[in-house]
Amino acid sequence: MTNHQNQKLVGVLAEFACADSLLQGAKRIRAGGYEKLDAFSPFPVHGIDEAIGIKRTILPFICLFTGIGACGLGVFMQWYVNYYVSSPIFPGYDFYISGKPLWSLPANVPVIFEVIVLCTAFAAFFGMLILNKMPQLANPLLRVARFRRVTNDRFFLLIDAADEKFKNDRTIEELRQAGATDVETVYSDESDHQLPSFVRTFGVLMLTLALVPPVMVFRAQGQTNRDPRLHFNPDMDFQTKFKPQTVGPNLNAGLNHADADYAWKDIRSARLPIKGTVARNKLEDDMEFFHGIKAASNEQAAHEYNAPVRIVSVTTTLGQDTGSGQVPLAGETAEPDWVTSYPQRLKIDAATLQRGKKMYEINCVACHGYAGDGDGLVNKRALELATVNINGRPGAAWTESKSLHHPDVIVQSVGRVFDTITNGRATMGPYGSRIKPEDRWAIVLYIQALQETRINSAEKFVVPETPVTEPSADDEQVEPQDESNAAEEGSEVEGAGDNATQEGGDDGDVESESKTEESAGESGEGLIGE
Amino acid sequence: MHEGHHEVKDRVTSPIYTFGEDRNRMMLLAIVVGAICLGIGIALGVSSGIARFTYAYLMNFCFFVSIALGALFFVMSQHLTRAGWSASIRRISEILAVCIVPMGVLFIPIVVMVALKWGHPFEWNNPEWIATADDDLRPIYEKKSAYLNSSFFIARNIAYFLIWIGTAWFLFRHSLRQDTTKSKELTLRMQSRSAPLMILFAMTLVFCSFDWQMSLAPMWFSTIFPVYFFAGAVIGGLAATTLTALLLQRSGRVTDEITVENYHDMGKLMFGFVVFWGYIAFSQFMLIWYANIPEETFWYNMRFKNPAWLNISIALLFLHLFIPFLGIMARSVRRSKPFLVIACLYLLAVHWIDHYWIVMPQYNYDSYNLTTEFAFPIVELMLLAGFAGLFIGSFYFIAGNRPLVPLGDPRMAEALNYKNL
Amino acid sequence: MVTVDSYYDNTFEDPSRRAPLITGRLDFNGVTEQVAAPTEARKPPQAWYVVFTISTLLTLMLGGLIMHLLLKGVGVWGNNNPVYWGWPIVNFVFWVGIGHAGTLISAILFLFRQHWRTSINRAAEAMTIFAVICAGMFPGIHIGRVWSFYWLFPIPSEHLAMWPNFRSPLLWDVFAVSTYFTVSLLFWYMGMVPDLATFRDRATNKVKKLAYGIAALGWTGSARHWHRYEAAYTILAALATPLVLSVHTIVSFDFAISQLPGWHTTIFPPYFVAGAIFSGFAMVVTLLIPARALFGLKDIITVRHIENMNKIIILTGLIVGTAYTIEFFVAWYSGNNYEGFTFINRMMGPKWWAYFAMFSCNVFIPQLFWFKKIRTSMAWSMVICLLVNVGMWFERFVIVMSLERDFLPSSWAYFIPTWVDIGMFVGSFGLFLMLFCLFCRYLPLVAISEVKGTMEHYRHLPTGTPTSET
Repeated sequence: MTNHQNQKLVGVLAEFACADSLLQGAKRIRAGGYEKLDAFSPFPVHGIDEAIGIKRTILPFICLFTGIGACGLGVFMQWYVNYYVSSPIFPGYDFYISGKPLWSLPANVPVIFEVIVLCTAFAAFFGMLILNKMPQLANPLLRVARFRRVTNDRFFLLIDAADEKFKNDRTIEELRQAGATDVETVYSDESDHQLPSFVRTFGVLMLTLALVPPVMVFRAQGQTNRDPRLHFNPDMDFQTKFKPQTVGPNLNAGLNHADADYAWKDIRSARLPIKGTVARNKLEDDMEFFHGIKAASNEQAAHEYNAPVRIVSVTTTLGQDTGSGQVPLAGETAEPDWVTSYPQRLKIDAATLQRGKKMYEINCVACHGYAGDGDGLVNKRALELATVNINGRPGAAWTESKSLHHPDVIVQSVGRVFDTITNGRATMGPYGSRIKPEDRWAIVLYIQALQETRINSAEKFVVPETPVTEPSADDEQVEPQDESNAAEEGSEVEGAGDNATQEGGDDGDVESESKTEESAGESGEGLIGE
Repeated sequence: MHEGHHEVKDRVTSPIYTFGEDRNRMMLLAIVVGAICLGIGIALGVSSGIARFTYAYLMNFCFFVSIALGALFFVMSQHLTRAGWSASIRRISEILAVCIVPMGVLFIPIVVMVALKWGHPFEWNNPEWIATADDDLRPIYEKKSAYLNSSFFIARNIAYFLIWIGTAWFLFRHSLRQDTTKSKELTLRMQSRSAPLMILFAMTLVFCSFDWQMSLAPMWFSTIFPVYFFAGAVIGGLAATTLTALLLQRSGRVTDEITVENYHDMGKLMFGFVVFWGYIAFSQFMLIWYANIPEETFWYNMRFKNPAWLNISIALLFLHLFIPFLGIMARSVRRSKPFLVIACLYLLAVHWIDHYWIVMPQYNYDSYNLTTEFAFPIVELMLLAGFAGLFIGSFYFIAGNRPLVPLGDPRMAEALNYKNL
Repeated sequence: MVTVDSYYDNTFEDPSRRAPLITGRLDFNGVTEQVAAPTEARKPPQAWYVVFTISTLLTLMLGGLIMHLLLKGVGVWGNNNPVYWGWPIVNFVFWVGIGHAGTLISAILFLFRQHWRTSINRAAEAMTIFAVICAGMFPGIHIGRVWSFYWLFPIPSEHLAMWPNFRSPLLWDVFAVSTYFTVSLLFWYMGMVPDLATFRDRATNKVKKLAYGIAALGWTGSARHWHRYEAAYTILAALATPLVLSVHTIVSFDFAISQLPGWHTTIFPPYFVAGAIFSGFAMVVTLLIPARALFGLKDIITVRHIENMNKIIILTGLIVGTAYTIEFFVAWYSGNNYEGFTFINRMMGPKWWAYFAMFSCNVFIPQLFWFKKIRTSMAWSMVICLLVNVGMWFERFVIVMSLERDFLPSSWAYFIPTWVDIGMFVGSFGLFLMLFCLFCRYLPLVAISEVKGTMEHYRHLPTGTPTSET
């Protein structure tokens, strides 16, 4: 402690025997005119604040204002999160629960309170640290050996060297007179601010190790890996439960397939309705209307030809055949006795035709095209794809959609067409579950109207190379344009000089279509007759 | 501050420690003014219908009983915690607690009302009560009448008063005896007896709150209600004690014995119980509001449907919680005597409004149309003045020439010397 | 160091002087030495090893069971319709309740200037932290997909496009328990800073020096620091006091805002808080009786401390008993058949034994503490406090099991816990004790600076109370 050339004088540190003598000493020193004092003790000595002139801390005010702010934060957060649903970014989410209004303050009180307490506690703790300039891990005082007992049972008073009255020897003497048992000058130097060497070593080591994960991530970039991803967490992915339209469940879950223990003998998850069961509003009591088969002519065939049986027969391809009721596919001889005229229940009028047009355009146009030429967009695109090679294979396997003006189709009876829509033919899927029977009949009606346009006035029409509905920029214009086309076609088929077509109004449309329908009905019968 | 034995006798009768000659004059003044106000209140009340008068009387009665009970609780709790800081201010609470005796006398009119089966303020006390019930409610009415009937009510209420009077008197007498004997044994005895007495106190307080206030709406029930009553009562007791101490010092008595540190701590306790009251009031409201069960919510509906009562309900939240919370949060307020006088008066006022809010909407409540009536509380205020006069008069009567600080308490020295942080 | 044999009886009653809170003629240095001894001893006592080993094994078991739960799903618990909340919520409320005594001792007793708190507050606060960890674990692993736990917090998310529901008491719980944990941790740590500095200044090896040195944040006991420190401490105490109340109040809201009979009771908030303090104090006594014997702290954590805590246990036990009585009375008084049935069913239904255990352990058995002989006897205190903890567990069990019999008799059931339920509950005790063992070994078990402050305060009392017996 002799050579203090590179060191800075911090102050004089005096030791006192007990808290009382520290208090007395501090009062005396302060009375002697010193301003920059600090006392050190193992516990707060009451009265020392006044003795060395510590002003009341502003911490309570910091906390008060934090608390008020936190109250606002708590209110705002809940208002935003559960009420402000129209926020442009991260909109709030409106839970309607237990009949409470979205913005109901009593229910928000607990969280507001907790937010206030949390924020204010942070303010108190960190405010204290900041005001105390902590953490301050290096302190020249800690170099004084006897100062180590300040946290145990010793009391110290420091007079800062920056104090105006500070004068080393005199200050020491004054401190002694004030009751200090021991006085020492304190110096600071660079080494106070140096980290211990092993901390540095440790730090470098940890930093190096911390580089490993990013390097590994970097290396892994751009590499391919054919292993399946790790299923870290099952997340209820595998459950012994019935999932619709699948096999299972395997009650012996988790084991290999050989040990599988399925709930049902046929391993399917779904159960069939008991034979003869009819669901509510599903009683299909009219063979002609629901299946397009003449009821009177063949009771037996009609009976076998009911819907549930058909489902069974289709699904039998999976495994055990339950027998009866194979579906006769197109071209097979065992054709039922199709109805040739529209069933009694179907109301044939303009509205039905309009409905048929609508349903046709929803369900059929994609493949068969607006005019029924089999040139729908899906068909065209699929044919295109079928010609393209992708990875050595054709882009699509596609059977061309049938033109509804094909002679094979024209000769079909209405019952047969109805059945095609209901159950599908060849690669065409069944639409029975998606379209109601009366709508299916309406489609049949509309198809017949379409066919009529070609049969009765073939020479008048040049079948366009492009579909009737040229995809135009504005989709909305397609339909009305098409409708008026259809109306025109209908009216010209009729051949009557009906001025309704020229008017092109709604009424005119309906009227003209009703006429179309009439003629279609007639011609339909006529066709069968042929 | 260490006092020798020879001084005690002088000090016990010194005018600084007692009311001395003022006592008789002040007592008479208070009682006369009180009696006149009470008379006016009764006259006004009876003229605006005897029913309203019964409710107003009950509510003011509850208010003053709650102050006495709050003071009694304070005394017992200080014994139980071996508190030294409060020794000097405890005597005032002891006297306030003994004021339960005159309140027992003022309870007689209520006993009469119940005994005569008037049907108000207690609806269940009407002989026709069960008969007028809906068919589906009648079994419940019948069941409840096992508890809510006049004879059982009177019997148990007499028991409450006996317990309270006994407790208050026991603590007061022992404390007084200590003034001259300075016996440590008395402190120990008060401490050890306070524990079982506290249990009796708690049980009687629970049931008195059921009897006087909860049963006003006989179909309503809330298990937290006694705690709510208790929280208000303690605020009342603390505010009354502090206010009395401050006023005594203004008249030049016990000026050195009760220090600003005492007031600071009384202020902290009041602050604490204001928060506690808010906590209990919120808990009760919150649970009933959230669960939204009709058999509970109607009690709040009574206080929310009528705009006048709704305003009082909302005002109560601010007056009884937020304003005093912010008002006595600051250390400087708790250490300033003028501010503290205002704070104590304020707390007593809002405590009165609290009782007003609990009791008065019941008056003329129409359970079919769910309507309540609101009238300017002139009757209630006159009765308040009357009760206050009688209460203050009995305070003077009880205090008499007895010392206003427990001079013989072995912990007085501690009370005189402690410092707040 | 003092000899272990003859201890000064400071449980006397003398209103003219304060009984010494520190016995054994300890001076400041003596207190430091005693508190530092367990951390500075080369080896902890053998019993420490036994408890630590067992509790660590139990913690490992708990970890294993949690893995099992995560892999299999919450079906491994006994929870099912109609008892959707089985043991996990019982354990959660039980542990949160225990976690209340620490902050109560620190904060409320601090505000009430109960100087005896200084010897026990540190251990109690540590216990709080560990109990809240155990408590938070149960709802944490009950949320099903644990890895999505952050959905509980209001974090803006494009992915989820949703926010939490702030009107749900379960979300209040998230806020309350996490705030409580954070504030308790701050409070605990802040109180420990001066003591860590003591340990730093006494440390003999580099690692300890560095660890305690960093943790002590450079504390030197400067008067300026003390001034702000005391202000911050008072503010934290003033915040923690209502916080303690709010946390268990919110836990009680989980039940009480429902419309279920037996759950929807307005007294639940204060009653839960009183119960929490009751069980918390019992746990502090249970932990400190062995700890003071094992680590030679009988002069600092004296019989008087234990006695005072036992008195609080009688008080809170009586509050809880009063609440039981009020509930029962009002269930009858309300005239509501469902309400009445629930309480009769609790007492005489299939789980009558749980009600019996609850009532006897919480209300009757603590009454033994009226006898001074019993409340100053360590063995009796230990047994009674353990029973109180049993009783408080059963209280929550009784409340939750009201679900067994709801409005619809056809859906009634009898709840039976699975081995996982039991294992997790036992394991949570392992975790709790393991953390407590580590705390005893490495951190100051007693708030040294606060004890010294109390000693100094007592020296200045006008009644002339000695800091130690003379």
